[in-house]
Amino acid sequence: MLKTRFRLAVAAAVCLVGAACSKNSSPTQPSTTSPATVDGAGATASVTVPRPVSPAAGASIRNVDQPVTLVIANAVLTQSATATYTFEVSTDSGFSTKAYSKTGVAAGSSGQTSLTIDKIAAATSYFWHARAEGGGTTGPFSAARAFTIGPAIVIDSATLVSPISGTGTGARPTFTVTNATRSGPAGALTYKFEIASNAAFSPVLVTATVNEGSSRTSFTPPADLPAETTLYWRVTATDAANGVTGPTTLAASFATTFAIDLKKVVYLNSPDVSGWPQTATLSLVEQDGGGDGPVCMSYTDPGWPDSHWPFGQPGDDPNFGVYANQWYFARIGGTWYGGAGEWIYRGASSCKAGQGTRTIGPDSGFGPPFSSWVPQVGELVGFMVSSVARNGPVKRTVDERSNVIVQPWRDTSLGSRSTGRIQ
Amino acid sequence: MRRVSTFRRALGPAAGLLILVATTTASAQTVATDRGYVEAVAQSAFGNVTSQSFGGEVGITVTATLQVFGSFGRIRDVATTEIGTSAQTIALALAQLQPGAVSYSVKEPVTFFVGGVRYRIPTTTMLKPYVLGGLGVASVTKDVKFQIGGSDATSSLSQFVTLGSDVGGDESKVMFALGGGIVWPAWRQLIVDLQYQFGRISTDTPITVNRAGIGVGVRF
Repeated sequence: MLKTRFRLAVAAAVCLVGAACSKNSSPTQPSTTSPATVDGAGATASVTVPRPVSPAAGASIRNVDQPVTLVIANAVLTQSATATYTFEVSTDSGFSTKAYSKTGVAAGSSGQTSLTIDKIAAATSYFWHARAEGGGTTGPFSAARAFTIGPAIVIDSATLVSPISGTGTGARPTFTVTNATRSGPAGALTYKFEIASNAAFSPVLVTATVNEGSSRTSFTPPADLPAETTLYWRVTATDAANGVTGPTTLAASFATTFAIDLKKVVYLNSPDVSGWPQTATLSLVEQDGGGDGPVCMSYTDPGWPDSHWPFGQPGDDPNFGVYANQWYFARIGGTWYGGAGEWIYRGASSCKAGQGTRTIGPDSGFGPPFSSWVPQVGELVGFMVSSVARNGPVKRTVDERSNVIVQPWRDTSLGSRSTGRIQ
Repeated sequence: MRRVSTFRRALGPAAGLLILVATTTASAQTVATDRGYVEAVAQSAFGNVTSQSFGGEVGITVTATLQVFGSFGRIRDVATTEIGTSAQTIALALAQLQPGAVSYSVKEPVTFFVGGVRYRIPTTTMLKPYVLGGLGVASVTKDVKFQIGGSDATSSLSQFVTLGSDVGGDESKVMFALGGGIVWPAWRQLIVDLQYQFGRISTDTPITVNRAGIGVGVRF
């Protein structure tokens, strides 16, 4: 009887133990994806949502700034589990149309994880979110955050207009391009003009960025380019606001064959003006070595002050003054000689006579070798205008000048065509 | 390492009890004449945390010194350090993810059934010492709650966290118990049972729980 009771009791206990072991891993929220591996224990980890950091909600990203980098603050995982992340980018907030997706992104250090995604279509609004996985649990996706990729802007190359490749120019030629064509909502364009002494543009001698003109854009160097040198120029159009830069034009060469390096000029009866600022622009010189030898200069008058004229005669205006000099440059024996010639005063014509083929040399009083110089038709001669510069009793004023124009000598008495414009 | 220490601490009282029983046995030759007992038990449970345990126990006398028993009960909380750490980690994260103040509570109640044998140490005194060993099943529930702004938000955290089984779910696992006690026949069939039991539950994170308390019942 006692043995029977004992056996029954033991049997009952064993059955209960064997039958009752079970596990209901149904926490407050369903979670797991795979058996937990953390610390060898069977429990799965808890995983929080990662926090979106960048791009900011509603961010507008320029297309040119692609690829976009998504940044999250790392999720928190219990049980010292290691997280990997899934990032999704979609055109809808329900993420049914994914533009990009990546799983298994290793957690970054310093508390944040970033992922640079592939380039995605421009001019489109997107949503992105991320979630963490680890310790046998897949965490929730972060709230969808929107951003927009701006429209694509394409800028073509500008077209070089002048100087065309292989031509000769003055010391300060005007560089002109036809504006670049563009597609998309481009902003204001600027054009970077680069001038160098070699086709590799290393080094670049002159760089200037110019706002776009109406159909063409031009740039004139503020200082003389190296004289008698072959140079190269190219242009790059840029939409700075949108960060889009078009292709750089091919380089075109030109030669400053008509230029005079003022630093190398031998100045006659005049100061060295190579360092004088250029405040006037000489745009046209018309001369004729025939007849009474007029030299007419068209230039912008920057308002150079008058200098008292000390050679007045009784009855003359005691306040009479001059404000400028014409300049003439001649290349004699391979050297440029130059000096301030005729005086210019306000209220009178800018044309000065006495600068004929046989009179320009001795007329200016520059002395040899200029005084015996007789220019040949077609010979390159330089012209300039400056504030009062000639040495002597007429006092200099502001020491400013124009650019230099170098052009062939003309003499209608020797066969040159008349321009018909000399006044 | 902490669990091993707890286990060793628990073995101390048990070993002492065995020594007491052994010395008493030398002069004990009285033979029990009851057929068994039934009693209600109230205990203090301690180990990872301190709580209470309530239950009942039935024993059937097999021989004069041997009884087969079955006990059941519920321990109100045996929460481990691990579950507390996980809950705290989640709470801190929640505080970063939303503006409300976050608090949490952790409980790990256990319902168990253990069957085993009692060895009644023969003695001539009124007090009847015994040692026991048993094996059974314990169902452990991980009861972790999170409050946000003072309200229970445990069921609405899906936007912030996916809770793992480290802070939720039930486990039914083997439990073994080792212990001893002294039965005092207080009046007629009424008995008072002072007892201690060391228990260990083989859950994913093993749980050690000590119970010391009193049982009141009847012999039959």
